[in-house]
Amino acid sequence: MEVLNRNIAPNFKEITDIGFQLPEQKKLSNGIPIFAYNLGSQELVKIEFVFEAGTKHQEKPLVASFTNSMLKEGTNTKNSLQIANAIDYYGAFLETEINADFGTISLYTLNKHLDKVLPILKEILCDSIFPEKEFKQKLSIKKQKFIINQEKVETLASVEFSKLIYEGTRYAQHTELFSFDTISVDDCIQFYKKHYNLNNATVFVAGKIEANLHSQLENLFGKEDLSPKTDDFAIGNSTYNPSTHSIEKKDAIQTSFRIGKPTLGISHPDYTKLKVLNTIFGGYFGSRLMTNIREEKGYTYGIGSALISRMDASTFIIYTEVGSDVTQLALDEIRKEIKTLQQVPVSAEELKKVKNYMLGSLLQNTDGAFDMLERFKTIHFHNLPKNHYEQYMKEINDTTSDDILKLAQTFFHDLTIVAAGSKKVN
Amino acid sequence: MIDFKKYTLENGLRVLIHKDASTPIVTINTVFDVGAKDEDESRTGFAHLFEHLMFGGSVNIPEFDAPLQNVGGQNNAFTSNDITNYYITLPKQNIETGLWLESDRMLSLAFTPESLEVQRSVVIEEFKQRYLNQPYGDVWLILRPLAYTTHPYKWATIGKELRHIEDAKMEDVRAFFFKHYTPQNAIISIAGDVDSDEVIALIEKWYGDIPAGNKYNRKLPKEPKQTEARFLEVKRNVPQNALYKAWHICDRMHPDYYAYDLLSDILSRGSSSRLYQTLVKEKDLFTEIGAYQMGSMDNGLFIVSGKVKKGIEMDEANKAIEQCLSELASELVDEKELTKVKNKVESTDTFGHINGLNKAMRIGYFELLGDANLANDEMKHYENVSAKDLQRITKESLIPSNCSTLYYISEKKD
Repeated sequence: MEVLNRNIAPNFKEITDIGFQLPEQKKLSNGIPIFAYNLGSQELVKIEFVFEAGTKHQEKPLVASFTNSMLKEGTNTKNSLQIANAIDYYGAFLETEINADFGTISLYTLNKHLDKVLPILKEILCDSIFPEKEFKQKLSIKKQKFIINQEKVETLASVEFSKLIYEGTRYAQHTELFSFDTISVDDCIQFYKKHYNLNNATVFVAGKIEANLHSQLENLFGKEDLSPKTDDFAIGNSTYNPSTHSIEKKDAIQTSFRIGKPTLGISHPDYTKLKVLNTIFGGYFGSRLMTNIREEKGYTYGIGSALISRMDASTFIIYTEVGSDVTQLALDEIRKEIKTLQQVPVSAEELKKVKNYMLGSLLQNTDGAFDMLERFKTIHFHNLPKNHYEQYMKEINDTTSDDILKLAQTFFHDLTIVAAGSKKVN
Repeated sequence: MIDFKKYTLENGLRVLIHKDASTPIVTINTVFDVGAKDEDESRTGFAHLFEHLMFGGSVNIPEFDAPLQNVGGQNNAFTSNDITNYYITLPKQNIETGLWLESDRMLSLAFTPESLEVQRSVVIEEFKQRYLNQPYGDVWLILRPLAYTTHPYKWATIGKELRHIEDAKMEDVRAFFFKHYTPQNAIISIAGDVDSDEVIALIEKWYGDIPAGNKYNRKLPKEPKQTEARFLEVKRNVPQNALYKAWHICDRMHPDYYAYDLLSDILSRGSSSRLYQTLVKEKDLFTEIGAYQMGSMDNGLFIVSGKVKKGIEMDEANKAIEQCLSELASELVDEKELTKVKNKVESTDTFGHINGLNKAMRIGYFELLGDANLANDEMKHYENVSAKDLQRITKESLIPSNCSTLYYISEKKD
């Protein structure tokens, strides 16, 4: 038997194909678009209604998130307990979700119970009444949670960072304690009527789809008259100016950092290269930031950087919580890593590792119907070409060390720095 | 249903292979039969610190992460009071890279002093970030020693105090490794589009020559039966009072485990659940509330915890929880409510079968409990729970003399 040489890595194969598929596309007879992935062996399905009902659409703070979470709290024929019982009894899950761009409501159910729970979803979307009592109660609960979150340095830093980075645009809206005293049920009803309107819905389905699912959707949603969509939304003009802020939190034993800037969006030709640069810098466990600041210095439990692509703005962000005593040292090291990327070309070995890692994560993130659906939503909402992911893989492979150096030199300027904790930074 | 093949190497390493042809990703899960409960009381937090050290290079391979990232893989790990679990997910064609890396660190670690120093600081920052610098973050550091007087569940996985981590020495690290990280104490489970004969051949190749080591025989002190209600009040700089209650319950393999699990669902799963409907919505006493059992392997805890609404007396909030429980003791849960929580378990189980990592972890964990097949029997056990069982366990266990109550009182300094 040959002796095993453990010092040498086994041969491996590169990722050349991720097997990403596009969904089946249909329309209900009134025009509501449906995108469906019929994949998987488990007898279950997820049905997701996405609305342009994000926080950027609200006229004042909290309205979008309250409208979204109040959807389950009462309709003309069911109170909140009856809705909860009807969903829970069949083991289904009804999840509401809100972000800056979209409001979402998703139903997860076993196929055998779909016909019982889908009508509840319909009722919620077409017939919610926003009862005053439930609203008041939710208001007081969320207010308490808000107060607790204000105790966290990471909350203080990330709220301030958003304010600064999105300044001048609707993304800069933020909640203050008094915001809880300014919203009413009527605000939610108005928002619901305008934004949770079926004329504004896109439907995504994933799972083992039964033959009659489409007709069930058609019967419940396809016969509704859709009013014409009004589009008066404008995001506003960014007035971003880089700055450095320290937010004092007495006795905090860690400092939370949020550092970054507005950047190019996902459809920009250089986006993939930027993504490679970000991955090298702080986008994975083996990144420069993680290697230096966690694995060599031990200043933090975790540090990373990311590109966040919203519909109307994109952001580069570095995030970490570090020991208070090493606050300034950690910031100095972050700056040092930036400088290194601007001065020293990344080695062929490291670049190869990052490319393989990125292709591997793409493969991991397109594994099955639910993952593919998430990837497809990016293509759909950002209006990207259908072969976006093939293109993305090619662009990753084509990125050179020189590309990274040049990009680092032009990119890492005008950063806004926010630090929340007991120590100031400069 | 998770189908699998089982294979045991001569050195005692157990291997479970689940074939799922629908995914391009393979999971390699490795669970070691060691957790925080196996620590010395004067050196707590060690199992978790050790988990970090497992990423600091092994005897023949200086770095763990880089070669894995280089083939498109990802990995992570977690430590609990019972187990330490490591996992890798990677493209199926590169499974051997994962086995090469994972086997070398089972063979032996590099034990470099630098790695110990750095991971010590990282864990101290983790301790601060998750337990000290968060509102209510220290609750488990307080509640565990209140509920357990004797069993090592009395300390949290992160450790009793920072000092224990600061004091960890290389000789302790070595001793811990050779005591616990042996093939006999490990189970590997693989899920993905693999051929089981090929996988077994690869595992023989990379793990076959790792010495079996000594079998670790666990002798943990048993927690004596609690006979009197326990109570503790702490004051902290948090915005809102919180209430925590912990009752001793059975171990993971006890038939009543499933009844306790369903009972916690009746109390707090979903917004139709009793505690939420009664104490949050109807009586307006709490702003959030939850109930769960800890799922520990040895005798566990049943927890009810909530944030008490401003202006409500703690005693009133506490009584209201006890009132909900006494209703469960005096009246049978109706069939519809019982069916509801069973249906939820069924759908959660079905959704849990989508993900390869989840499936690999699940069969590995049950093999550690005694038999991987138990993973497929669980639904039957849930199905068999009756309303009478729920009433019986409530009367038996969820009583004041078996309970530790913690008042976590807001004392705003600002």
